[in-house]
Amino acid sequence: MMTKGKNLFSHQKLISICVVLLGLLLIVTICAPWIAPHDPAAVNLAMKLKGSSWEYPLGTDQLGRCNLSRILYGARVSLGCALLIFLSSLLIGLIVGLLSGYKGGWIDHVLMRICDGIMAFPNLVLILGLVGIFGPGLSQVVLALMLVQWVYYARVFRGMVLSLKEQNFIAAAKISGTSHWNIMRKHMIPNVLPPLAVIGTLEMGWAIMDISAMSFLGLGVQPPMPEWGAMIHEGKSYIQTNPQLMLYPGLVIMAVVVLFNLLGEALSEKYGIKRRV
Amino acid sequence: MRKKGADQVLNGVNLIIEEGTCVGLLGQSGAGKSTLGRIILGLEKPKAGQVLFEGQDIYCADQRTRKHYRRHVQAVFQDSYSAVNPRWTVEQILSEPLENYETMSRKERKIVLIHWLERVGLSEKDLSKYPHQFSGGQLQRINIARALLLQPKLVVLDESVSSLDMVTQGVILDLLVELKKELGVAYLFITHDMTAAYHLSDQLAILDQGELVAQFRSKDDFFSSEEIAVQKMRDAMLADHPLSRTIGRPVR
Amino acid sequence: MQESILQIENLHVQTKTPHGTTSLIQDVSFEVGRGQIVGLIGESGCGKTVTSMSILHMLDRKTTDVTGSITLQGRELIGMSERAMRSIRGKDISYIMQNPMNSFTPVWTIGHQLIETIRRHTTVSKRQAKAKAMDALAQMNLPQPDKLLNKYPFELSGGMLQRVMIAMAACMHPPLLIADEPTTALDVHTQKLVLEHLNQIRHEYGTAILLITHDLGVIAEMADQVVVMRQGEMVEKAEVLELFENPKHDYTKKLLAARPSIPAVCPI
Repeated sequence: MMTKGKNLFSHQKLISICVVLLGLLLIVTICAPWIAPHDPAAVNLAMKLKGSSWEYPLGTDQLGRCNLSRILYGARVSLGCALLIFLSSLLIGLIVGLLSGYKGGWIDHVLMRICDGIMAFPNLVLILGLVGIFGPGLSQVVLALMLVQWVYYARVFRGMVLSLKEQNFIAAAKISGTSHWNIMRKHMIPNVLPPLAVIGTLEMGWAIMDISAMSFLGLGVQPPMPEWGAMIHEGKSYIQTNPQLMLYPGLVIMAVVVLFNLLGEALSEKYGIKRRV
Repeated sequence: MRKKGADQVLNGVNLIIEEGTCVGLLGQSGAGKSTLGRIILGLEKPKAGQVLFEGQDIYCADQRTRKHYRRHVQAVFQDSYSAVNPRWTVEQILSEPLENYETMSRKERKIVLIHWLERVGLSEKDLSKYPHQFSGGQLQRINIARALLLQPKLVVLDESVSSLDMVTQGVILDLLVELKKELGVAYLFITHDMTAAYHLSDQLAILDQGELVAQFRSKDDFFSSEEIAVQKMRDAMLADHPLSRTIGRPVR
Repeated sequence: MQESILQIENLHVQTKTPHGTTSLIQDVSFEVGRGQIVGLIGESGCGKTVTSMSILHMLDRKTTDVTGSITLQGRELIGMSERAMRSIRGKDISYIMQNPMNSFTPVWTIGHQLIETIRRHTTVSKRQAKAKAMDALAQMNLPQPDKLLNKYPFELSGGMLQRVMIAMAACMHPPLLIADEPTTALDVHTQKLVLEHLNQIRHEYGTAILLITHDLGVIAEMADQVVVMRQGEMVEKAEVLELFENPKHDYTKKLLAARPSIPAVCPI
């Protein structure tokens, strides 16, 4: 199964490297206030659009704000929100999927029709629509993304629950006198979560991209809050003179998403789990 | 979902299992044996008819009666691996029924578990192991321990030894015989294997295409019967010695 | 007089793991003659399947080491290229496995798979292959062969599938047939039918059969010679009557004693 296309790194090594780098990212994100050389919101028009220097390692943007500091603080927004979206949609999807799969009947019908309705729209269209209703802003974007994302998890969990339900050990648990609630809690959830931990890494990548995309469109984060997508949005007017304003945040987004994807792929190869395309 | 004539899997089945006896239920696959097992285990409600446990209809009973019934009717399935949660340790697997019915501290529970593990031929160090670390036969012993530790009145053995090899089959059947004598538990032994059924059962019944075509209160009646279904089963048995073979090249 | 079809001599199979080399089977030797049924019996894990897999060369070439001699009608199989083995499998050696559902692709009809097998090993047209397939099914007394060809594997019961598999294995008239636990997954009525089919093949085409099982009843019914295996070793080899009447090894005695017999059933 894994003999096709020998990778440069063994899966275990790749997983370790990704985990270490992501761990570093996490530390940097948490410690941003202590690491960042300047206040990301500090405007200094005298220093605008300067190149790299000792004082401003990545140069400054059009308002004289330190690029590096903005990127570091931006990590908190991007990663923090991505995590929030991921965990909350996972939770909602888990509850819906469990109920739907385990109980079946009309609950299943109703919930799945709701999912079908939401899934009928392309993700981005739906998000744009919701943001249109809620208005622009970070919390609105996060809410919109949550409302769209849970559907996928619900479907996946439901599928797993349906196949688990047929297993003999569930019948055995019922015969042992275990209540439905306990069956869900002790048998279903532990068997359903591990594969999702793998898919979750990939979902984090998507969530970061979605937030950045919304901010890039001017719909997510509002100035002066630093956020990678927003920085690209602001930098696009200067693309010819100071391309680094777009390049730095763009590269960072790419690097982080690639890291998550690599980790997710390596994990899914290791545990033989299919990922969403 | 087998379509056999009408959509009926079982038709007019009357079966009595007395305390402490083993009823062997024979029949081809698709005859409805497993469905009957599931109905008796309370997993599937029959379209018509009743399942009376100690005189009470289990499908129309109140919460308390159902709980009592649940405790006293247990099962051991054919595939030992799929009957346990693959991520649980043996200790967790065996503790589940105890936690549902008794209130004990972990230490007290452990003592009970070790007693039962030893009773089925395993040991204390198996408590921390996972199902995949055991052979089919060993895991089936664990399933038997789990079924019996609540001291039920009836255990449904659904093809419990069919997946095991000959030698292990014999050993597990012997264990079941011993436990039946010791605990006075009744068995419903569902199987297609006549020799195994003979070994373990006191009474025998044959299910053919959803109907109970024959029932015998003693094993010997079964073998001397002229019923067509019984004859068919007898003819289907493989020889136990080359001299009595009916298929291969005759030996001198 | 009995031409030897399969000859196994000093077969050793070892597998390389990260922890070192483990021996799977040691020093196994036996032969199967034309029209003969050799029963290979032992508990699970004794090496029966490894033996059949090494005859078919289906063990992982990179991690397993097969030494000794396996000759099929005089041709040495050990060391043969994968390409050469592919032309042997299905034509000169047919294989029947325990779970018939696993040998068929669920998305194609039985007919499609039968015809494909026939056409892979012979140069007949599709129509001729279809006729051959129908003939093979009819030979096994399978009802309505033409309807059967159009069915999908999931539409048939395990027993029926197993009989179709035997028909498929037999239609090429292979000199050797390996049947690995062919009756284990079946209920008792179909078991006898399947064994009767195997006997028919042996009788009509002179096929040599290596019958692997853990069921002494199958051995008692079918085998001419018996090889008893335990933990990778051959512990006893004898003519079937001799084995049942005068078992020499303790393990054989244990096997014979393990099966309780029914006193009320009188032998013929």
